[in-house]
Amino acid sequence: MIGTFVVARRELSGLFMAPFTWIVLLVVLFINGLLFSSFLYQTQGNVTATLSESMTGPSFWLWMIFLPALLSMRLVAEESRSGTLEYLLTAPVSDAAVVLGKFLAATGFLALLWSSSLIYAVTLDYAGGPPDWPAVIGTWFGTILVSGLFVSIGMLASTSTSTPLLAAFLSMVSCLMWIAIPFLAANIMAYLVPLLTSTAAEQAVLAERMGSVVASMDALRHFSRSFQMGVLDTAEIVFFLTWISFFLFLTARSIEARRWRG
Amino acid sequence: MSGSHSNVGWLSRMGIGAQVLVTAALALVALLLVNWLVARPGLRHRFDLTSASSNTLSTATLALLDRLESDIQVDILYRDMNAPLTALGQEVIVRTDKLLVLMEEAAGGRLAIQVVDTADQEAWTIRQQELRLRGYENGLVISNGERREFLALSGDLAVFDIGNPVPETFIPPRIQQFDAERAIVGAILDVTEGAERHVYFTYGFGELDALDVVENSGLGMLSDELEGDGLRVHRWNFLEDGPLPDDCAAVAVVGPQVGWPEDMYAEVVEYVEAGGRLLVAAETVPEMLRKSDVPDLLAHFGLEVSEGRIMHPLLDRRTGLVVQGQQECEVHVVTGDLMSRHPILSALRGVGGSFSVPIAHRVQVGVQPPDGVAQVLLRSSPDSWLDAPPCDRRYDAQLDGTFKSFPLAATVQRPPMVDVEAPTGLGTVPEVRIVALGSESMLTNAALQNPTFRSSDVLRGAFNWLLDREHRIIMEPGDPDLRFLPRERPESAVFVIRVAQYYLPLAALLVSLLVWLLRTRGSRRVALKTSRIEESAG
Amino acid sequence: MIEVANLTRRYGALLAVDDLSFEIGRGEVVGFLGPNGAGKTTTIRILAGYLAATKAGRLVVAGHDVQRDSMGVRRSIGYLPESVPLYPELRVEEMMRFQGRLHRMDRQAMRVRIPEVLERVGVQDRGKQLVGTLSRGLKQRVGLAVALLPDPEVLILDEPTSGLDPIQRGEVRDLIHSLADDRTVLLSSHILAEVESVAPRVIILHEGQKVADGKPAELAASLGGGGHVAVEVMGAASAEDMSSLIGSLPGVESVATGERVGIHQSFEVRGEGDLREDIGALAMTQSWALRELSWQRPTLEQLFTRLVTGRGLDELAMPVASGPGAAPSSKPEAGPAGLSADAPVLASGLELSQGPTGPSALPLGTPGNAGSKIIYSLNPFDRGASRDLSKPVSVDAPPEAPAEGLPDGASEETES
Repeated sequence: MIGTFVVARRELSGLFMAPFTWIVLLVVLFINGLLFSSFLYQTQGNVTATLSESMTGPSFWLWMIFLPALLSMRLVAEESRSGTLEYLLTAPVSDAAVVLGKFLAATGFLALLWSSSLIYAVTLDYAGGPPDWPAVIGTWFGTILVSGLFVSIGMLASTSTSTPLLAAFLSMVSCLMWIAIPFLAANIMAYLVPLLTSTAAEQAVLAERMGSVVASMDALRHFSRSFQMGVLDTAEIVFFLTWISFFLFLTARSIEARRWRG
Repeated sequence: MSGSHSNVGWLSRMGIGAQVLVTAALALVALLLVNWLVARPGLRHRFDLTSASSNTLSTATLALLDRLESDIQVDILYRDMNAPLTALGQEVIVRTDKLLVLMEEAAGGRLAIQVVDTADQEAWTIRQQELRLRGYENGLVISNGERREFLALSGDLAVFDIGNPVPETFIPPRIQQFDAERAIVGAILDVTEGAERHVYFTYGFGELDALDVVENSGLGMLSDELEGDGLRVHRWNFLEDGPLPDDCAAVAVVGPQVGWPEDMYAEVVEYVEAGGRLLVAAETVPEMLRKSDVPDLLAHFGLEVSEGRIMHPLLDRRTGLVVQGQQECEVHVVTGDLMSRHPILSALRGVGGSFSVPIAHRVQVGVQPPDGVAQVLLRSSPDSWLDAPPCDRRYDAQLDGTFKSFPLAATVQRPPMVDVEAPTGLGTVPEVRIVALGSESMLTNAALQNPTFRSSDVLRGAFNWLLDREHRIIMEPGDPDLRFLPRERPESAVFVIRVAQYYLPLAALLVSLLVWLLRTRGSRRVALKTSRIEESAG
Repeated sequence: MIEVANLTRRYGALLAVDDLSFEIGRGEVVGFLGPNGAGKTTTIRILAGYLAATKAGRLVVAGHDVQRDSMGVRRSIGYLPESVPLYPELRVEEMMRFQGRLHRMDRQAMRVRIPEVLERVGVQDRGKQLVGTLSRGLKQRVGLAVALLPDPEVLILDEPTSGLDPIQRGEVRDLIHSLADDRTVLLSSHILAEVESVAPRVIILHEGQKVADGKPAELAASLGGGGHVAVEVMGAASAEDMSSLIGSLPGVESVATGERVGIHQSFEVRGEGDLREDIGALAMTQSWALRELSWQRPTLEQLFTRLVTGRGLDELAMPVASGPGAAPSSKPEAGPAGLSADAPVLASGLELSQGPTGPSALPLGTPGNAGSKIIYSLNPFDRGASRDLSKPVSVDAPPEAPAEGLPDGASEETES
């Protein structure tokens, strides 16, 4: 446990000591600022709609494809190449602590990044349009959970190679896949369902079953049905936490497999 | 490095791989199990963080959704509204959307939501036909099979206040009331309550035959339309069938030519007074109308029907002049300006449609009910005249008075006139609703067959309005909970935009420079970046 | 302190460490020797807990079982990988504090210990400098400091001198020397001179197997058949005559005729005991002008080359005119005089006269002229090369050096 925090603290401070991180931060802040302004203009000053759009709109999901990939590339693949991962993995901390520490650092960084939305909210409050604070904070909490999920996916993809660029690419593809699950599944189902069944009634039943399975993995849907609306739903929190733990578990196993692969 | 060695290596690798796969699969199963478990209603808790509790459904709604037995389909129709309501319309539809999502969650698969893409012309046309919609209005269509109800965005879901657009005394438009939850619950109640709804057409006293699809004077086509809307049409004769059945949702009286037995008249009046629904259409021939009970029946509810019929000069389409000698056209074309603001006509008015009413008596409001509303539904064109009986269809200034616009139909809406047991909670509130039409002809097969008359939409609208029940839904009034930057101070928005666009990135840049300075101090070689690049190049 | 029994490690089909067994006692300094790909790094990584053993009879470091109690091992060793992994964006002190936190040291202990360790490795004035801006040698010292911080009982250093220029190498060597007083040190190198000067005991690995284990001098004596006398004379007689004259001296076993430089003729004389007096007397009687008469001990370099190539020292050194009974080293029973009993001089199955033959079999370079110290071709100005940690800097470097991070076994496979 202590090891986790020691690693997380170093990784987080290490992130902020590297110019790479600051460049990412600046780019995201700049683009988000532009988007926020345009939303404010489009909605004619609607505080709730503007905040919701800038915190949970398409731009957020686009960042979710790129940022976790870049972070996990830095935290896993680059360290694996420079040898510092060997240092960490021979230090008296468990693999789980290393994985968890790196995960916490990357998620913490993204949490900090998304708290820029809270700054927007404070500014709106100051300017005379008080946002619905509990709902805004709930949504912010949700964005952190989503970030965690995508960081854990990115880290798992990153452990499979020590070539940073390849790792970033793999992470990006994995995160994209996770977002695109419902669209992909719909296409696949359109082909598969007629093959597996004969009657229209069976098709409908099968399509519905598969649809519910796919919907249960759709992060966008889970997010939009709870945090995005300003609702804390225990089932949705558990959804994100369990998938994060699952991917972190696989990441730890993947790192352990390195000890066998060499 | 012999063959056997490499075999062992391969095997042990396979073993490790299988072990990893098995643990991963077990973890996945555990994950799915936990997720399934926490989604059980008993274990699942939702905490609404919004200050207006906009994500919390009222207990009445939850109770309704919980005991929902049929599949409800909700179609969302939305196009951007015109200025100045564009942003507000969006806000309302977004909120309605959220509300529907909550309802969908609570309904446990009984509620399906579909956003109709009205931009896709072909799909929209198909869906329009499926929903038996005409024209376009923003709102929701709530359907249970063939039974459906339309909720208009402006009016049903929310009430807008346009404000004052004059710059000096500018008041921004606003959402006065957001009532989507109540409206949707009411509509769901409407389309689900009572599996079948029955309309009884009186029969046997000269009335037009509701089941006759052959004769021009039959009402068979109208009945088909109503069946299409999920209603069941019956003929009813007091002498043969006895009192009105309990499942009676509405009584239609279309052109009786002789008087009813006294019991039958009493039965109908009693039914309507206790909160029943009635459609009356007057017989064409004045003498027969006089003999029937229709004038008395209408008078009982404060309406008056004339024996004479409304005529108007027939104008030449090209010249606009009265066609020689033709002062007695009896087909009234009702355009938007001749329709009153009434739910029956709102959809038609919205698309600028028109329809024709052939051979109509004047139906006007005699006595305004003390606790309800009686209003004229349609009017004839301003140059029409009332042909006094006996209808000789010839204008006589002495007898027939002046040219003006005459009412052709009227409605009454009022609470029951006798004491009835009022339900509590989600029940239906009994209410008297009457539609009185001056023309029986507009209901006939002949009229419905005539493509230029286009009266079926109005008739369907009339029946839908008649059968629409007022529900008592105990619900907190919807809080608009609007949060806008103050419009009177545009500089506030400018400030916010400046912070988001310049100050915040600039602050981050400054912090980054500070960090860079602090980090490189005390090191001989300054550039941190260079060393990093060298490292990775090694 | 370190016990290894029947350690085997495979990378897929590659056998990197093959049934390796050795033991290192408390306070010993042991050098791991072997060419690239011999399995040194793999063994060290397994001991440090970075890699898993495919099979091991016994694997104990500092009293902890490596396979069962990896945390215990990691807490009690200081491990410095070959790549000297330090976070370039941290200052030296921050790097040290991070290591301290990982080892659960409290603030007070760190405040005392960090300057102490930095002073010990001689970088006390670099505490505030960013690790990324340190020179290679300083980085190596800081890496050592990091490994030393928790005061480990066992210090494991993988190629601690690779990539350093000769001066830096000397410094690091001295540092290791000073550390060796109070703790067990296991270090690896493919540079024999380094090990020879630091470690009283060396273990030579080749293709994952232990081929020799003992004190350098004893190993040399047993394998190289002791030393020889280098003679360089100017005389009237022909080289053959001189050779046979020297060969007739009592105790002389063989005389190898060397090259003729100008008027001087050189010989290598082998035999029992120190033959210099006899040869000197012979030269006086024959009125040869003696230019050199010196006792030459074979270095570990030659021994090592010989072990891994399987070729005789003489063959490599100069054209041999062997006398009878040449190459006594091929008799295993001749050796074990001064070696520890539990570690045989020669691993089973290895015969020095056999093994891969022909120069193409092993692209290990040929050493320079025997007798003089081999100067490895490290170009101190070649920064790029010095940073490339996996590239060996000695002349025996295979031209197609394996990329960093590749397991030793892989390169071994490509070579053999």
